[in-house]
Amino acid sequence: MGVELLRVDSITKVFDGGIIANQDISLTILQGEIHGIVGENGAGKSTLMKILYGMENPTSGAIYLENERLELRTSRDAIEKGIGMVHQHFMLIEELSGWENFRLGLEGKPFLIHRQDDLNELREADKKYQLNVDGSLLVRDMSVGMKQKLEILKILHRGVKLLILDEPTAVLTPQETDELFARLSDLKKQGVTIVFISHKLNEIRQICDRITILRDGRNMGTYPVGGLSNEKISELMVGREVSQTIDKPFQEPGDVVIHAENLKQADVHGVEKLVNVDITLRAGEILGIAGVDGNGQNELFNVLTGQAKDYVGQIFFEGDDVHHISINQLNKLGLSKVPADRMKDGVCKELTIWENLFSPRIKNFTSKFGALKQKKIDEEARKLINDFQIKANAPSQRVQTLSGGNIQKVVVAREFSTDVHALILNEPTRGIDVGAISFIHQRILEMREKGSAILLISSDLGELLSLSDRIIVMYKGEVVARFNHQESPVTEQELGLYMLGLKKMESMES
Amino acid sequence: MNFILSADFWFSVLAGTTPVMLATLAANIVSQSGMFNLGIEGTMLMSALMGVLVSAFTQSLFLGMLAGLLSGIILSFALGYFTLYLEAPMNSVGVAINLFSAGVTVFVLTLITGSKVTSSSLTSLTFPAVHIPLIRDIPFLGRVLSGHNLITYLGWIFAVGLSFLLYRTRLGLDIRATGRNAEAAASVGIQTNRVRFKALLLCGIFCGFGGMYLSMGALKSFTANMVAGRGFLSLAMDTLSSSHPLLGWGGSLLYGFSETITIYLQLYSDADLKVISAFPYIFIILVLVIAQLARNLLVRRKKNIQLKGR
Repeated sequence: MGVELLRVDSITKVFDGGIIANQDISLTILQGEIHGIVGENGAGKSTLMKILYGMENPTSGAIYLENERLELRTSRDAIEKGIGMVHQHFMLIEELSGWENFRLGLEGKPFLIHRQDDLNELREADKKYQLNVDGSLLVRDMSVGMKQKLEILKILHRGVKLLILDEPTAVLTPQETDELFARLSDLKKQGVTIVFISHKLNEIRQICDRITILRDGRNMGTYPVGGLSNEKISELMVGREVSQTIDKPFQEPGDVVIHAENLKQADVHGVEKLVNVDITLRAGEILGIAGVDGNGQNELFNVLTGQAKDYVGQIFFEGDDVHHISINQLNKLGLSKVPADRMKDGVCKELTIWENLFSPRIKNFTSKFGALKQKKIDEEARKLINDFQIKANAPSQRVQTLSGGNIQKVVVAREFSTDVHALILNEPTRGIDVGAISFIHQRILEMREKGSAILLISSDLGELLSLSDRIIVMYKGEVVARFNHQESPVTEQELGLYMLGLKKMESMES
Repeated sequence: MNFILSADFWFSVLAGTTPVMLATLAANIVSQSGMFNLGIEGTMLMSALMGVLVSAFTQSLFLGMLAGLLSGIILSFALGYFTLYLEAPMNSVGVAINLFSAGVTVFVLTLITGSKVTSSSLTSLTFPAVHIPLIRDIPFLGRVLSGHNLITYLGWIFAVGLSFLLYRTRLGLDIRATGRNAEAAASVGIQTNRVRFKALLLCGIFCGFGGMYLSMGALKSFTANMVAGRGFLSLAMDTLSSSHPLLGWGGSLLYGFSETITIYLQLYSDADLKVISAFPYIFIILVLVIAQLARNLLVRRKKNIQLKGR
């Protein structure tokens, strides 16, 4: 047994509205270990970490660092005491350069800025921790992997004793993940203590010494990682056995529904976001789009769904050029979509469930004078709530009061319940609970069976590999690989090589 | 149009630029810190009155200046307090500040002087004009650059100082970081609200001088609603200059130019007075439209797409 570094003593956190995020959690982190915190989404991992990092105050309980009781009111307090955190969404300022982000908030810096001094300081730290960050770049121009390493460097340089990494691999390719793990092992050798939050079992197994499992805001125990089987961990995490296998019968694709040729798009900085993209999507197939976040997937989504018109090239929806077809008309023609950011683009969170369900086709629910047919609305809404297993009290409940998974189900219910010819999905299961994920996966497969043409953009490679019939990989806006996954399956590692731009297929059939 | 070549004309351009430039600096610093101050107009108005009143009653220019600055700072801090601590929407607080100032200034003016329009019955003080040795002896340029009101020169120093502060100092970096991503700034221990109050402090000072220039420099008394839209104009200048103080100065010069040319046209041209009075506004709108079109063109160029004939 090592020396205790941090002790969490019976932390309980109750949010306004009575939601209990953490209930009586106690755990101990030892000097120099990599300690995994695992649990499903909503198990209370993030809340616990925010408490450790001074972003939330616990309702009761205490934190001790080297046996000294900590009173953390802000992140500043936490950093001062030696607790640093790399957030899932990087706390970097995109418009500033690496060194500016690096020196931001550092104690004891002179009032006047000396660029060269700061840059040298960054390079020295970089050398010490071997992270290979180029501090002279604007953050906006860095790869995701480098941004993350800049974050780690920034925090280590502040002399933290404990480094918290919140789902650090969620945004990385398999290769970048390996690289990160190699760096973390080095840091461990240098004596840095690391808390590693994840819900991916193989990663936990690869990197952690001990793990603590959270479920429904409670601590299910801390174990040395070697002594636990994967089955045991998932059982503790979920509380039931989970079957991860998805049954997908072979299916011959039908007619072409969406055909896109030579798509090009650039952003306001002149950076090309889509480069000569060709896509053909047939009825009854699922086409997966793989790629590291920010390699043109969102642009492709916006262009294909008619939300962005500033592209060059042509898109045909069932043979018609869509450039002059409005989003509303596309919707009526049978194009459905699930956007990546459900709170911003998927629902109007202040409105009720039924308003969100029916607003695109509200004309079906009005009398000829325009008055709403409340009874019909209520019946249909209840039916959808039932069909899509949305946990809600009534159709008139506001969407923002639902959990993430249920909000996503509202979006899915709206988009899947019409006459769907094509379905464009962007991260349909990001950040929702396992139950909702498997429900939505089942629904996607049902739509495939019914003959919808489905495009699935996802950064969850497991999801892509288990659902897709064909997979294409995007890198810097370009299609760099196409696989017929249904006939000859590919692996995560293979995809990763293309996602990182290490490999590129020379000739491709679309 | 011979007047365009005269030193007096260009002197007036620089003088007319001063209040807008100070207002633009105020808008710059606030938006760099990630806020939006719609209340600059009202803040300047209040300072203009307070400077006049206190200097008239104490017969001390210094105390008058302090009063003008203090009222500017108080109104700016009010914006900060309501929006940052009470989480009120920024636009409505700005509008409230404008309405408050427009009403209170006239009320106080009437109470003290009996006039609803002007404070000319009081003998208030003004900031002195400064003649710069050496420079004033340069032919032509000397007559353009020297002899301005003290506040004009202060404004120039502020513009250069503010860009230095923003881009070369720790506080400036903290302000820009807070403005672009307050959450990220807070995560490295920057106290974002404190940083924003520092920005608001500067905003109050700039508004204070801008307002006092009108009532204790350009004119010798306070007149109701004498800011006359310059505070709102500064918000446009701020957008136009992407919140960079030196570019904002350039934008304000355009305003100074158009205002001055209007005055001269009224004296020397036969055109309808109403058309001439509309000139500065039409001019500014044109400049804004052209600037925006140029920006769009640039973006489209950058996008580097040969738009096919669709």
